[in-house]
Amino acid sequence: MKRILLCAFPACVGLVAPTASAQSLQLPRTAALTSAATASLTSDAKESRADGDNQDDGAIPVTPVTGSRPLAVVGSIVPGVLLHGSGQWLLGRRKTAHRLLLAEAAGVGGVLGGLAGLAVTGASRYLVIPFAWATIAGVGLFGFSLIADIHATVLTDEQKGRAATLTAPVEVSVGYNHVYDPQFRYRNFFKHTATFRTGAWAFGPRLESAVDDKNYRLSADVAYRFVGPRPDVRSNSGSFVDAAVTATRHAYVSDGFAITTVEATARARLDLRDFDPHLSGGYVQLDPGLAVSSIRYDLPTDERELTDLLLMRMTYGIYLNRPTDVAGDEIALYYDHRHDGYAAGLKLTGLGSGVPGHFGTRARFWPLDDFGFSLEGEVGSALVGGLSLWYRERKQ
Amino acid sequence: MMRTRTLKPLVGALIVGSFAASCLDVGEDRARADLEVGRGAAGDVKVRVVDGLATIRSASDSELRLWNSAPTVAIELTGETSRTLELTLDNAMPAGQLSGEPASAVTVTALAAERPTQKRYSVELTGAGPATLRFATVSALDRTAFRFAVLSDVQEAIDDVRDIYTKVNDEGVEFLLGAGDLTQQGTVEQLERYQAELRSLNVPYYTTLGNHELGQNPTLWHDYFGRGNFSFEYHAVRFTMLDSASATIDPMVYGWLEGWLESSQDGTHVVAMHIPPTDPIGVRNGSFGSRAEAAKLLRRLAAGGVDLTLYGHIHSYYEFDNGGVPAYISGGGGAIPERFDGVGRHFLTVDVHPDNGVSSVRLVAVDD
Repeated sequence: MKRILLCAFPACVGLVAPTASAQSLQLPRTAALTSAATASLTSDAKESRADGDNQDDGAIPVTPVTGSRPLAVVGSIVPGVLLHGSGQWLLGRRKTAHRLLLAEAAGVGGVLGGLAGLAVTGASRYLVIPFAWATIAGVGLFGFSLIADIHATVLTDEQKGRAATLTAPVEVSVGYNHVYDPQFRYRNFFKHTATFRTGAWAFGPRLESAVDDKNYRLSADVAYRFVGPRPDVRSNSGSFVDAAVTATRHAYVSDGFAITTVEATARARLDLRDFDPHLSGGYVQLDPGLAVSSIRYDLPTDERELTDLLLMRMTYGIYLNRPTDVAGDEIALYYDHRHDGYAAGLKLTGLGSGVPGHFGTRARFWPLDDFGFSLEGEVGSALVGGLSLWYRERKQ
Repeated sequence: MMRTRTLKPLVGALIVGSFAASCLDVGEDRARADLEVGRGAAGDVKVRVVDGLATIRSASDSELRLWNSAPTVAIELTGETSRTLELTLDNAMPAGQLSGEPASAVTVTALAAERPTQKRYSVELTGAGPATLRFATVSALDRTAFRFAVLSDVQEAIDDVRDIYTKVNDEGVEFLLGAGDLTQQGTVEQLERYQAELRSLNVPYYTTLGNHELGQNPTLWHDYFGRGNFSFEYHAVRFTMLDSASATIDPMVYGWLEGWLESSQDGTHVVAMHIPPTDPIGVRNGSFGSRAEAAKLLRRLAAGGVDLTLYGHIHSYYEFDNGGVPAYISGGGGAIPERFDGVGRHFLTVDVHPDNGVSSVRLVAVDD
């Protein structure tokens, strides 16, 4: 633990060359961010058994800054909003700048291609999934390349955080959510979550229950981790690839209906230090999936109907400066294409009405190592704000 | 440093949240504008169209011009001086007649009009008190079967819309029901063009608005076509039009809907709106932004005994059930079509009876 903490400091960053341990897992290199969704981890990402003694600090050499940082910060916004990577370019990190510009171009291509496909096919029932995914992923790439440039330009290399090297076997939380939805009476919720991990497997039940209405949402999630940090496998990178199946029962008792959903998702996180060492401290995560829902109406005829749901969640997160063996502090901003749940989809007044999902932000901190807290907020058809208290059991 | 970095995103989230809070009631302005439809003055004569079922297109000391949103329209006129108004009703039932009461306060004389859906009258107000004008067909209250048509999503295909009207004129329908997206962006020019094209239609067109009508000024629609949320009866069949142009129904409108549902609990009730609560192709989500709100609305419609739901927005044809209520999506007005569906420009005809419900829904292809 002490060694990792020390290595977050400047004297260590950039000076310690990565060394592969005998038990490390070498993973393929990729330069294209779009590969992230399909397990892109670089050779800098190493995994080792958590009980091993050859812990690697994972530090990556970086190129010294040659430009003015204040100028670069301004440049990351203007013209950076249009030319992503401008901030890094002004810092003299041309290769990073080119990568961000390529990511932006790929994002614009995804958006234009997706929208063009939707327009040309009239959002055909047979082709809407790939075109919608391309559009959403394109927006995500565009957003990532902009935010990552600003983030990596504003912070010095020494100020950038690191991902946890292990995940906690057990995490539980209790919390409160306030939900303002003009269409429903409920406002106040208690929520309880838990995650139990053993090896590559994780099980996560979750309950949100209204205290001022008859409404609850109960879900259970089973996930398998193909690569990435686990309770028993240490990784110098926060990158991971999971597959998950989730079942959810959302009962609107006082409104006379209930929605049961089963969904399958992939969760692919790319620690940006695996993409480019100068972007370390951040990550992007892409969670595509599909869901099937059964809606049961409380009517004399007991009506039920089936529907499906396109899932895509894109997250840009920032690791904060407290690297520990288990999940550390982080802040994330995300777009979630879901139209169910409490936040549901954004309300717009024009042509895009009904299509977009919701935006959210989440921040979690562990001031006492085993005990932490999180703040969450979502904006969709409703405003959701919450606070949770966390406990985690760390591997001894 | 840690503290600063923690606060920045939270402050940002608060700003975004404040902005978003103002965006949750996206249909509120339009619902409030509904309440003002049909209210105005012709000189010193106060005008109020009951239930807002006609919008005032123009008014002066000597002239009053209305655009009807329903087969039966009641107009209350209040003035203390005698006056003669030339009243023009556009989008009117061809067989409709205007009557006025009390006789001591108003006299109505029919004038020549330009087309079947236009009615012109000379209305003499004596100043002896408030007068009520009632426009209706003689048979409007009869419990007999009739046919109406459904058309939506014309948008950029306005140049060819007369092809559709020609076919509608041949179908023996009492009126055409619209589920929105008449225009591409809802501009003044486009709304006027649409009303101009309606001159070739021999029956009135009662319609709500779609998301394409929200392009510039969301309440401009009300000046041309009237309310987005309204309900009327014809031959004892209730028709309710809802404004779902923002992929939601305004909370205020749910209150109005309760009353409309109660009034037709045991009769036949047809509900139409632009964006459907649910898309039969769920992954596309050409539907409400919130699945929960969609289910809430559909449960209310089903519990309220609604017999048929009609939607636009998706440029194809779908027949399905929502909440156990038969549903049809018909976006066949000519806007960019959904490909590979085998459906071209089309409209629907619906045969309905006040006691026996809906007996048939038929797709009429325009381009054979």
